[in-house]
Amino acid sequence: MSDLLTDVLSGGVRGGTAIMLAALGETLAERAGVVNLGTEGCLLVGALTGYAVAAETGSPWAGLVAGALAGAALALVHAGLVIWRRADQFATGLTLMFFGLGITSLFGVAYVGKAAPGFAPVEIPLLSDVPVLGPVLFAHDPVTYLSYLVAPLMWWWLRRSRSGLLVRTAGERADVLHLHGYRAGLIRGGAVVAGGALAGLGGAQLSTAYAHAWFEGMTAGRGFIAVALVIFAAWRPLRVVAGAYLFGALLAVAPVLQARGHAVNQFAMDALPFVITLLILAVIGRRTLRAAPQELRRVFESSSSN
Amino acid sequence: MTATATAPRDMLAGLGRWAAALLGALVLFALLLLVKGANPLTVLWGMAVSTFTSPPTIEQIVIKSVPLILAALAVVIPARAGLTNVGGEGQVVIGAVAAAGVGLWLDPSLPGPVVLVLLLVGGGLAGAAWAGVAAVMRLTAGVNEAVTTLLLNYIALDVLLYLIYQPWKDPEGSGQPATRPLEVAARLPLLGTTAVHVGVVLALVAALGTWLVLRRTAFGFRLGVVGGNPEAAGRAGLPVRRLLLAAMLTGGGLAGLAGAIHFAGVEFKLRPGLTTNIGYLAFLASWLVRHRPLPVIGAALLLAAVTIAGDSLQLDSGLPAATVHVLTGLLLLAVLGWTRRKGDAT
Amino acid sequence: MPALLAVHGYTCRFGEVLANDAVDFAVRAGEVHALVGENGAGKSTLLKLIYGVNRPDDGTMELDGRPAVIASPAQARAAGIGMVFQDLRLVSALTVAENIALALPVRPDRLHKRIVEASERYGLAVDPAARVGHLSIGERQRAEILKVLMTGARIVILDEPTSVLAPQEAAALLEAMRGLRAQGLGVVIVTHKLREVREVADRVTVLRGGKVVLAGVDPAGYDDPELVRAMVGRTVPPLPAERPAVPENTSPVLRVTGVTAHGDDGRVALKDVALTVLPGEIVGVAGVAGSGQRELCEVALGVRPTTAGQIELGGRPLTGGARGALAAGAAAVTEDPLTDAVVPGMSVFQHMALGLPRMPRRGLDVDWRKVSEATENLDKAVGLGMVGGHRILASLSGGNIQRVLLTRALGRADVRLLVAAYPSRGLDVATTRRTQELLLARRAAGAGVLLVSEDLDELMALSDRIAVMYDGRLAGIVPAAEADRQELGRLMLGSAA
Repeated sequence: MSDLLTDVLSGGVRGGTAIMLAALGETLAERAGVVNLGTEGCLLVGALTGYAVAAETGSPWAGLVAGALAGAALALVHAGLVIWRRADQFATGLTLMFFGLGITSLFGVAYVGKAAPGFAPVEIPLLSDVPVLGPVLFAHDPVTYLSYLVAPLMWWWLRRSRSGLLVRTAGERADVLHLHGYRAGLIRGGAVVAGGALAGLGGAQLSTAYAHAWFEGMTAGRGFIAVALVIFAAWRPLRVVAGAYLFGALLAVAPVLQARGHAVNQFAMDALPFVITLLILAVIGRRTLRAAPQELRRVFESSSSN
Repeated sequence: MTATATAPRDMLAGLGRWAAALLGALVLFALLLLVKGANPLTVLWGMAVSTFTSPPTIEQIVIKSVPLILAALAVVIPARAGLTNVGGEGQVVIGAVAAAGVGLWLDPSLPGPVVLVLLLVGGGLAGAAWAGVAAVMRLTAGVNEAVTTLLLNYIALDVLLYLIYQPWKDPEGSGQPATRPLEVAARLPLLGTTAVHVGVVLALVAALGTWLVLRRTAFGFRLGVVGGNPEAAGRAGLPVRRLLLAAMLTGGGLAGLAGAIHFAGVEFKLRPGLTTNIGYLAFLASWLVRHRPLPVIGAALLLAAVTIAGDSLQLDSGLPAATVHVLTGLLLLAVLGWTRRKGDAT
Repeated sequence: MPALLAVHGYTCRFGEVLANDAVDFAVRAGEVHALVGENGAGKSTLLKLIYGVNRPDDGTMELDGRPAVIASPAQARAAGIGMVFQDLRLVSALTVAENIALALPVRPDRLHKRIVEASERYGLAVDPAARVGHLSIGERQRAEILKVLMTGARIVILDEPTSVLAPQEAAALLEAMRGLRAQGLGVVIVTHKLREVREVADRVTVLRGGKVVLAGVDPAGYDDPELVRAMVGRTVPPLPAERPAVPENTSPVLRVTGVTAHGDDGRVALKDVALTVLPGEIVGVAGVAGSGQRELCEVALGVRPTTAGQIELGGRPLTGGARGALAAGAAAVTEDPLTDAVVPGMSVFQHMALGLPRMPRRGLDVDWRKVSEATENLDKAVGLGMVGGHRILASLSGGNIQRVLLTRALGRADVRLLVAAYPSRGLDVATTRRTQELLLARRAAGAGVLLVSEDLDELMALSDRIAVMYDGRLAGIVPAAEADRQELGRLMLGSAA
């Protein structure tokens, strides 16, 4: 039984990493006052680009960098449209998701079923021998280890650094930034693009370290879960981590059970993360909304009129 | 709602912006095709020729546009109340599922037309209920409906897959995950000698009805107030929550109806790829014309044409059908970013 | 010694309106210079020009006697000009130190010591680690002034700083301004309160209709009527003192008993409040900004749910929220029109339709012809000079929006309870006076009026009784005839006991 738990948790960490990176990216964007539903698209283009570059160059590390850049590029379009052209955030984000779906399917055909070098699990000596925690945390691919650093760094940076302060101010009251001679648009744009890079990184992890494959629509809504996750994590990076691993674990339950010969309903298991997300939002939605950055709250509360 | 006269010069400028935006999207698309190694001129020409020169494809476009119009109205009405319904896809799926449930359950025992009416009603109700989940979450827990409707899309898809892989799977089928087909008598009748089913009439009536309701009734006015400033609406004594709920349920109902019509007019059985992104395309269609109910018809026809062209793309150029999503996405990005008049509120 | 800052012939035009017409203005080191004038006189425009928010169409500026051009707030700050806006530019979710860090190129955690030093030096006590959202208005203002001073301002401009403060807090602020003057800074205070001019200003400049009427004169040389005449161009007669007495032994139009309610932030905003408003009575509500006035109005209008207590309108318990309150004859002028009452994309007619007791219907549609007739009648009855009915609200100035909303609420004869929050905000003196007359007319017609204002003089002139709120509680109710500013101020600060 504890074996089962270990497998689920370990799968949760591995499978949750992409969600976590995407959600941390979204956290960054939302702390600056921009919702990016295109996170799903960033994950997708990151996944394909990461896989393709790894296949072409033979280096998964190059794939990782390329994936992040691709995610950033897509997010740049979002930033440009919603900040510079003042387009609706929800509509633009969703359109980008759609665009991402199309463009990855156009350029991805060549890589379906094609092998590419990926990241293999590397057990960390000593640490991986610790019961339960060892296999759960320290028997993963290098990207997952790398991802452990992201949330604490982001937490520290938002809280302590000057640039973090500027990002938070952009999400709370952009006119104050303006007053002090900063370009709120640039700060927001930077946050959105950096967020897209993180999502792209997550996508690359998904294809080069988790699935070891590329197939059309492989992110399967992880980007949207990431957006929801940011809300119920109340825009705090450290809570995002917990939520992401929870979803990773939910995704891992079905394969783990199936591997042991249990009959499980695939579709019920697939729907589970979405159902749980909805339930959590239903329970704590109103409370977290109060924690929302002011400018963001405006985006959430008013929306698409003409 | 606001009847402001637009000067002809403004209109010309608006048209110019539109043309430039669309042209920009086409050029970008062509560049991407070039990068991919295809000849954009051949591809685009091929798309245009095969789409617009043969009557069967024109009929296909009209048929395709029917659920798009209905599902786009499912975005239009909530948008008037300030809500973002991104859940068309899920509502269409659930509408089709409910229609299949009703249709396949009753078609052996009841006369076809009765079954047809019941399954359309069932589809509409199911779509409304599915949107209602998001509406209730917005009203009770304050959760943004764009997020919840998106999540509900994935759940709806899993419901569909579960049903057609297990309980509803046709035992006499070829092993494919699909239900048995709906009896012919319960299908949507065709218009005259064309291949177009009568759903097109329903869609046009729905668009016209939406226009009338939004424009010419007190209900439409109130919905607009709620969308413009819910706080002011509440202080003016309008039943804000009820209006929001009504907008979302009506929208979901129309999307569910779209699913039911798609089932009873085109598909006749449930299968995995049933909706081919109808809900998402409809969302884009509604945004394309900034949520105006009559122009939605044109936008739906345009996107239907692009989608049909995408199918020919696959046959002629060997590019994946989803390639047209790139064009659709670029079109809408251009429209979102570059066709708004200066000074319009967000 | 040349002035720290001097502008000559500043002219600024917005479309047809000449907002500043050849204005001269100067600030010397070690003086407090009061800039007075009624709403729309051009004070805000002048401040925006000086601070680089807008550019003048004509005119020159000198700093320390040398010609200078200020094209942005950043340049203004670099030149030592500091501005304390009326609606403070602080971020509620951040701490005082973080807010100040936004103005200085420093990491916030390295700033605490400097803030403490500066606050001691200038006598502006504030906790650097406190989150701004948790501070009182007075504390926020001190934080804002400190921020301006710490960025090296030599000229500090305060835009109507006392309007949201209790008299004692205002006195402390004026004291702090004297301190700044003593340190050799140039201080500009924008105000419309002559009392403050007398208390703190060395010189006064009066603007009217965009022109300078009195240029940097010593206020001691003028008496009050002379200054008022300079501001409004004529003497304003006092409001009629002869008013019908409040009828006795009538049942109140509004009775609030033991009401507790939460604010938007989830904290308790009203605690056990009890209050009645009789027909033919104006009950004024005073208090430091954010003491529960907004929530009191909202519970009376059925907009905000209560967690305890009872509300009766016209003798019946209020049920059915805002709808119920409107049906019982309530009408409102809301505190924050843009958030609470304006649908930006809609026309004046459409707003009027929303305010009518029963929306006229023709079939399924609204009967817009009847709405148009009703609008015309209201406009005639009220006489505030509302804009045409087809105008879209988003295209109107604040003053014109307020006229629309006042016309909608004050023109109706069937109103039993009128809840008026800051009705004269953003209006010129003549329109303010007309509004006050309309409130008295409603009172004379037997309506009960709940009047919230930050202007104690206005409250004392109009009200029959003044209820003072402090921290969500009713600190006391004083008959207006017996009220005095010091007493009201003590209640406003919660130090009655």
